[in-house]
Amino acid sequence: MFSKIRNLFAGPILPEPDAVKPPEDGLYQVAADASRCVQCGICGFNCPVGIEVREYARRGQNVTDSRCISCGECIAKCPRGTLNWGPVVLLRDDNSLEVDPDSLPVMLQLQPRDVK
Amino acid sequence: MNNYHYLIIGNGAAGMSAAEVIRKRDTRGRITIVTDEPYLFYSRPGIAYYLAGQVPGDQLISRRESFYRDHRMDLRFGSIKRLDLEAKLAFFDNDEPIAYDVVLLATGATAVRPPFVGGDLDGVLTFDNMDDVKKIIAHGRRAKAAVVVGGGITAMEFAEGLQHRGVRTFLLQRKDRVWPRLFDPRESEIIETAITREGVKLLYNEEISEILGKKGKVRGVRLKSGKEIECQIVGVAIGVRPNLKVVEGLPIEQDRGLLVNPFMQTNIPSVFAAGDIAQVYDRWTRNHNLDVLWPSAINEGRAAGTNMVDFAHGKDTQFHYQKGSPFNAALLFGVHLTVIGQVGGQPAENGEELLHMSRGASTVWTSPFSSNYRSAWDIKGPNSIRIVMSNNRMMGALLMGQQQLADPLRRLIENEVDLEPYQDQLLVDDADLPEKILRAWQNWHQSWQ
Repeated sequence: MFSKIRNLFAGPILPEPDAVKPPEDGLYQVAADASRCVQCGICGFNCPVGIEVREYARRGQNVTDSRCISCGECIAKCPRGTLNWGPVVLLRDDNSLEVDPDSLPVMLQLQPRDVK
Repeated sequence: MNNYHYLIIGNGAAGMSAAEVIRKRDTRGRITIVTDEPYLFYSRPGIAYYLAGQVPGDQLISRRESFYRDHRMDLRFGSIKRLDLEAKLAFFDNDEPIAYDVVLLATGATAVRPPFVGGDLDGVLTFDNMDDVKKIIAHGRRAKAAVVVGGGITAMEFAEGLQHRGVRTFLLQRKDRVWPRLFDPRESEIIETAITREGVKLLYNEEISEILGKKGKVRGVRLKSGKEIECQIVGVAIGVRPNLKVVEGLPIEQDRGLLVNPFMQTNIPSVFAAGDIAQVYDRWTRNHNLDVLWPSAINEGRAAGTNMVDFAHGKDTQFHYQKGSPFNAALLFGVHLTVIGQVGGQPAENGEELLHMSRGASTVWTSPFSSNYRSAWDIKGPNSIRIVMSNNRMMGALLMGQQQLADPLRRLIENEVDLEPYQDQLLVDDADLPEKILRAWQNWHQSWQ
């Protein structure tokens, strides 16, 4: 796993368009780190289906809009690294959140969300 | 039960987040927000992306009329020129009074006007708000060349935006490299490479001695070296100052900004302050510091709003605000940058920073350390990590390029994690630094869960 991290550091500065496609194994949603967001709205402006992504980013929530086509445009265009692929957040019967820890790829383990 | 009136002066990040918290905690109270800009709440940091053509200006507005209406926030366009603290009255420019129960000063900061001869010529521009960008874009359509002066994030974004709009841009640096107070020489070099790659011409050890004009318009600059550059725009981004005009002559304690207690309250109990204008105690530097940062403004606004509700209801203010590690993320000429906490920059020379500071920066970043500190490095091409440690604690970090470790580092710093078992390994400059940081963070994170 650590060797993968090293590879990340050898990569290009900006993600290539392909690099923002979600990892193929497991289920992913666009996840947001609210503390990096300045509400500029570039995410929603570039969303091909018109989702107000910044409303999710403001609250630090995953983009759960059913129209999301997982194209990764918002992740690629965000100038502040607010958005990333995160594991799908599921609701348990008691309404608490559930995350499958095995579905976390290396990059996402680096940026855990406050999900319980 | 009374309907209390909350007056918020300033419609920026601090004012808006205070208003939101107040509305959540007091559904009956009256909220008035006063702004001297003709816009609804917009993303101030986003103006850089607007200038660079990445997003239309209108998109930066993130709260529409319906938001103000639904949350019963009365937005008043105008400026408050003075306060009567005894009578709890604020006065608009036209002397119209407005009574309040509690007031928040969230007036932000304004760009310092150019101190040069010729500073009032048409074409001398600052880059600090929505109107500024509109002016820059209008001038940019006709201009062939621009000279931008300044050393911080704003100056770089200014130059980048002009260059993107087809204006040949020169960026003047007073010293022999970019942002020497914050960056290590190797970090400056990464940014300088990126700046040059975009086509912006960097000029070192240069300052403007005079802006040259013709028929009231900028036609060029004369530098201290005697060299002249022909240009139609002079971009001035030499810093900002807190807007303290409204408290002039009032017995409100101030230093460089307004001094607040841990409840974001000034020495006058009914007057709170938050955002760029507030000077807040920082537990690491043990000083009251100024942040001109969006995330700080949001957090301070929320804390102030929470306490204003208690104050209005005659209760003790309870929300004890603990200032976090000042943090900013930026994208400069394609290079992602994150700065967290104290990174051991050089102290200000000749009190220059006492006069004004850079937007998007904190005085904490370059504050001197109270005890010994050591730093470690890893640098690979355009990616670099620098950590600063003192007494087994991570004090600050600066990342360029890859940002995967930004969040773990911020948590280690914020939570003052004891890194004693890792310190000796961490403080070795080698290629394994990212892995070692990751390992330390994962161990802490697991034990903490």
